[in-house]
Amino acid sequence: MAVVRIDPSSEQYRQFAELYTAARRARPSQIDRWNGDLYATVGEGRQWGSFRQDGSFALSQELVFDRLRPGAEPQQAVQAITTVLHETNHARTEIDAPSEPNAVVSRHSKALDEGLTEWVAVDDAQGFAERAGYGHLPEPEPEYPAAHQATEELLEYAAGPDNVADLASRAMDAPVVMRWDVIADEIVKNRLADVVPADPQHQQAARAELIHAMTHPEWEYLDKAPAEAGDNAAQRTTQALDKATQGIRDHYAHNPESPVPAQNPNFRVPQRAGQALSEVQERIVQHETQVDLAQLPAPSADARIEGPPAGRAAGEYSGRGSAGDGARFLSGSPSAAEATQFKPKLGNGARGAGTPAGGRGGVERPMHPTDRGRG
Amino acid sequence: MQFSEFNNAFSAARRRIRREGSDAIAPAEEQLQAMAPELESEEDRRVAASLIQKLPQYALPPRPRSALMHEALLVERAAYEAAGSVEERIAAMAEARRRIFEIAERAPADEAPGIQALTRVIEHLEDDLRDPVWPLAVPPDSDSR
Repeated sequence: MAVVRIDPSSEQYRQFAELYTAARRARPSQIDRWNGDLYATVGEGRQWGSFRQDGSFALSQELVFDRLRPGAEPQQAVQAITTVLHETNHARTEIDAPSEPNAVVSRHSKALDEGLTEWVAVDDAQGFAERAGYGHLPEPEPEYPAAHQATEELLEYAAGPDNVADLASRAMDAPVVMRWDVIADEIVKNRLADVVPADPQHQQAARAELIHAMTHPEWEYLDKAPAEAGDNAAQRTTQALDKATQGIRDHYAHNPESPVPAQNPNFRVPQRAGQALSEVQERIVQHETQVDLAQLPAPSADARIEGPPAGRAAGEYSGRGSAGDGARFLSGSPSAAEATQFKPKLGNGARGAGTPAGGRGGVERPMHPTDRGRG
Repeated sequence: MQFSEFNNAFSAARRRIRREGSDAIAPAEEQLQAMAPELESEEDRRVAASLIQKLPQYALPPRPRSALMHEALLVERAAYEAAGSVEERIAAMAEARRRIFEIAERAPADEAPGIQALTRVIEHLEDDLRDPVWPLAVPPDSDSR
């Protein structure tokens, strides 16, 4: 397989840049992480390609570029433009939100990112095809990968079947690590508005409790052992959410004045002073190494996720006796925190998170990918 | 109105028609036709009009799942749920992608791309296992590896 840089003055580059621009017109964002570089992977034919960490796109010549041309089978073209849409969506949001207490900085967020990005790409494909001049194309196959289906069930749980696209849009506008918080916010609004006060601390804590339920539901949230719960990831998540939701109701029945005692999902953000933790959260903290935030180095490749925190058995880490399998929705690393105070930067952490000005539907800044590529 | 707002309404209408059948077509057309003039650009309105014309097709039952698609879905889901070390999960996903493309080679031309597309997500998850994008997932001094 060869990786070939696409000349910015070429027709192939121009075609991609037009698709990129069309995708951004349909789903505007102030964030644009494409650096203007475009590559084709040639001669392999079994990898679609990706938006890369350096800000470039590298897409398959055989599976994507060749199928954007006249003469491709319609279903081939549908998947090629869905791939372009999927990758373009990766470039329109930030990844991290370091100061947000409810940020989930683990592969849980990558799994949701992939599921959500695919869900939105498939959902947008027909409109995108129309806009990009492929309006004659058929619907893609009505069979979707597991991450897509798990995402859909989660969105439906939170928003109901008629509002999933709206929730998906808001989640896509948030930084990748904040998307669980957007979904949790929807659950609080739709299922817990009668018990959780509007006060930001109450809201953040309730969302944090739900995020823990979504990202490691086997931990105490299920009455049944994971093996008995079956292998359906989405089913386990909704069961965990049901239990966490009831737990929040129970808390407010007895302690209406205090926020739910939930650990901040983002271990980099100190816990509020004096905040008590639930039994579940205490158990999580007991297994976490205490963090001296002042001593944390800047993020680096060496500091990235590779395994469970010290002191945690593999089974506790994964929930199903496996280490390092956080790419699924339902298992992986919880976060740790040592607490003094917190100060959310994004308000309620959901509506408008990741859209620095104007929230959802903000004005897209002018962009000329071709020009940048020449630069 | 931003196109994304219309698109979300179209998405909801499409899902409703798929769920409820042809009785849901007319109300959906009426709702979306009322929204379309509010769109900001002529291009947005053109795309919206074209999407509205597609609504009736969503009342048709989807094509039955083929045996090859069923086989590919089982492979993809097993890889997505696979437990084990990072290395074991990378191997499971790579093997699943290889098998799915082989299954697609046996499928008719109009079905093969849909089968191949099942690998799009696991390819990215596999990439992330090889080269994580996350800046910091656990305190670095507690990383046991």
